[in-house]
Amino acid sequence: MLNIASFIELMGAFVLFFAILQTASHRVDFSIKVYSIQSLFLSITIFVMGIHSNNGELYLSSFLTFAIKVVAIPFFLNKVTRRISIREKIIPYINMTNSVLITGAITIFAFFITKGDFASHEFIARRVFPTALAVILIGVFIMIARKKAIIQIIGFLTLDNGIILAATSITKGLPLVVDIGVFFDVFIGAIMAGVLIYRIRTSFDSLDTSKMSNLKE
Amino acid sequence: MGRTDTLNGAVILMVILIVILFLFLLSIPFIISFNPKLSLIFSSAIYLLLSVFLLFSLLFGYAKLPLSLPFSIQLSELFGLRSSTSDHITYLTTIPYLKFSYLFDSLSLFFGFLIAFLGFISSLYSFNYLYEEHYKNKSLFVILFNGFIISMLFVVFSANGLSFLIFWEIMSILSFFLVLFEYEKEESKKAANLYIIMTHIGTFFIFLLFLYMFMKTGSFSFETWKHLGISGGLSVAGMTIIFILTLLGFGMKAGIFPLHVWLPKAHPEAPSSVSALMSGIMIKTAIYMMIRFYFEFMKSYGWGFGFTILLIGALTLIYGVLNAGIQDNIKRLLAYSSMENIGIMLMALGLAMIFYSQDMYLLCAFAMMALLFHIMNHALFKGLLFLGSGAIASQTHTKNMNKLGGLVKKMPAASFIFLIGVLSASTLPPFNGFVSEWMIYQSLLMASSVNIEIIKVFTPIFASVMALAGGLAALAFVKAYGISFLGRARSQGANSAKEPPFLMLVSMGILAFLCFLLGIFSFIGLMPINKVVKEITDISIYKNITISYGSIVTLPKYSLGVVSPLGLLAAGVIFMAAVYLFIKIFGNMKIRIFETFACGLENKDVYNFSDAQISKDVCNAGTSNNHEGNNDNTNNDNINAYTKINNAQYSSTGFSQPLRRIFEKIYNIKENLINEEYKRKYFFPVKNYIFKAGDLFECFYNSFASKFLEKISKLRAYIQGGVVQTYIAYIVGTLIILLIWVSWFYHAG
Repeated sequence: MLNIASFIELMGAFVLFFAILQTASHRVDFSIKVYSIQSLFLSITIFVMGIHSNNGELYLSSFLTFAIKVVAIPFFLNKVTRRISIREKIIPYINMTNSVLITGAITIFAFFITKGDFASHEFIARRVFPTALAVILIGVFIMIARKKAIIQIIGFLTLDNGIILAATSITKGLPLVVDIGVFFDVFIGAIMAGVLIYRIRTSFDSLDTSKMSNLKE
Repeated sequence: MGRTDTLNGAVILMVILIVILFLFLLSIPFIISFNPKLSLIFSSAIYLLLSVFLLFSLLFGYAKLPLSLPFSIQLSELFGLRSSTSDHITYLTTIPYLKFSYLFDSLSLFFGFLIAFLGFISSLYSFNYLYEEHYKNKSLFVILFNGFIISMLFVVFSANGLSFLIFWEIMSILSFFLVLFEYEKEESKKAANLYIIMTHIGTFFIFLLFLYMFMKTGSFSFETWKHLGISGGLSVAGMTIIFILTLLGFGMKAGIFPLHVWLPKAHPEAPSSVSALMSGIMIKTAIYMMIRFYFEFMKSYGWGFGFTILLIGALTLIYGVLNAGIQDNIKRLLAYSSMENIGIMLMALGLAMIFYSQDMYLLCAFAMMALLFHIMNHALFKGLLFLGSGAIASQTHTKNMNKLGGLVKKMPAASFIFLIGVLSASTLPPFNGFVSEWMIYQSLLMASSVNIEIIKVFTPIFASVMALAGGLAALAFVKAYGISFLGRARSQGANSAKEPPFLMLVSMGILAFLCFLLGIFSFIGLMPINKVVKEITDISIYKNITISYGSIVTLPKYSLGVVSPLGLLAAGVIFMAAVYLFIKIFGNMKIRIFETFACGLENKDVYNFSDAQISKDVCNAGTSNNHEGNNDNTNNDNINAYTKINNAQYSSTGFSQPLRRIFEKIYNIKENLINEEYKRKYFFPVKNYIFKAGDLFECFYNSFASKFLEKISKLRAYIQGGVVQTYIAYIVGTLIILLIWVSWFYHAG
């Protein structure tokens, strides 16, 4: 039986799934697509939560997620990648297979540490919060395990998706002002990171952040 | 003091003074924007007025001095002095515990008087000095200089731990900038860095000390701390902690034995009028706080504290004077001599503490009087000497004594004044240094009446150490005077020196006159000091000291000796006259006037090193390897390299050679004799003698610090690898650990 809570959990699980898929991605444009789809599922999750809790603000939040994370940021990132014409593959510190295994471990860890009655009252979907935590940790993992600056941005954006998911799952939606602030923040952050990448590319001829250690003294 | 009749003439004078001071502070930027000279004259007038006023309020107990501050002044409080019965003035701020309160008891008035007076002298001196030295940013100097003096005044008048620390820091930082004043010079930068680091370590300990006092009393007010001392709320362990922290914190500023490293570096680098202030009074603000702590905030301690101070004083004394003997930089010599005098002061302080702990208040008062008198005298003669060295440096453009010489003919007035300072500093009668040091000898000998075996055994040893130090100090100052003023010029700069301008001479002359006056009629100086001593020990010692014939200073009850500076002067004059007459009558004395003997050089100018230059040019074939030339350009007085051929005349380095050989172990000396020539090996070889005298402890600290820093930096390089991913991993690692911790605690609880 598919009641609305388990539907939300399913959508959350999709968010997690695309986060894991992100670690297995070999190409930058594929990563951006994965991010876009993940954001779409996030948007759906928030929308359904809005239906469930009958909270008008969540609809707006969902719409903003869609507009910024599904459309604007991927569009912008694609533009940046096209301009700096990244053809090389994603260079990982940790290879794809091991990455996927580690994300599995991270997910288990996330479920493990949230197994108690953290915020027991008014939980919309019990298993969304550990899922969100797993997404956050996977986002950070992507930032650690990849060398390319653009993939690190995507890792950061994944992390942000995880935070939004966690926040909505626990609190039935942040206050609208905070929500809009966070979206705006992420959007500006992504744009700035894109510009920064362009600059890094022009001055280093590469996006490999491991080469930036030359900057150190 | 606690007077209520405050609305008298003094108050009116005081209010006028405040108004002038305020106007002065506010008008500084406008005045100096077009004329540093005007500003300096103005400020010297203010400091003179202030010092006279402070002296009078010390002597005749005038009202409190509301040196009103631009920190949240409430006007009603400013003029509502009648209501406050104590000698405290407090301004509240909105920050908790931070009160700007000021204390005008006789101890702080005494120090305030010294600061204001020396400020007057040095601003008078700076009037000409700034232009003689051709400093670029004279306006900046005026701002820093006035700020420095005013912050010192606030330091001694502060009666609250936090406000004290604020002004202490302002004082330290302004003096740091003044040390760094000639910022192009590498030496200045190094000295200033060392100074700011060490002084901040000292401030750290002072902070700990004040926090400890706060923990004990719950207040930062000195008044409360005094009650702590009276009520005896301190255990022996607590007093030991306070004692050690005061030693570390204030000792760093005073330059006591192992913490002195900054002192001989920083003082020579500052402009001379500033080093006169730093050496004359700034290092004594630390002694001031020690007196406050050991005689007001702490009571009924054992004799061990006093003995420790005495021991440290003796070490400081002997180390300072031994190092003063071998210096070639005249200002560094004076700085080490300051260290020696700090040692003497600490010995007097230690003696006073021993007597205080044994309830021998009369002797305590005598030692205290000796201490304060020596502080005053040292401020006068060391101020004079530093100003004199500034006059030399500004006229000859070098501080290196190996390049001076023959100045007595070029600047007769300045050299006479400097001679008085030298005689005072080497504690000869009839000058003031003699009287105070004699009083300290007396206190040392009187310590045999203390009923403790160790002190009975050790005080004669300390007295002999002091006597040895007195001899070595005389050696150092004979060198300072003889090498730089007598003989013949050793460089072009010294040969072309002229008499310094009028106001420089006047300001030095005032100090010299006071040195003489206090040497002959020492009771003049002892009168205000008596007030201070009376307030600290409740004994008016002035009447107990026999002062007959105007000048004899002794304690009749413990009479070990009597001295009359006036009588000594008379004896000296009569002796000299007798000798002169004897020679005149019986001697076969023809006066022959001839060129000054310079150890067998030909009859040509010694500074004219054309010979060496020629041989160099021949030998080096154009490569500029002339160390002397380099020395002149960089003004690097630390390393002393010169061609040997020019120095037939007895040099400063040569003069101190016996001392260097005897006490080789405690110096850190690098000597080298380098053959400079390549072709002419046997005919008139040119050799360079390189000599560098460093401080042993500086070397020790440096090696320790470098080893320590090496390890730290290796660790740092390992942790901070410069890879972005590593940094993120650190953050995540911390996050995960925290998550596990929280969840574990959650489940456990």
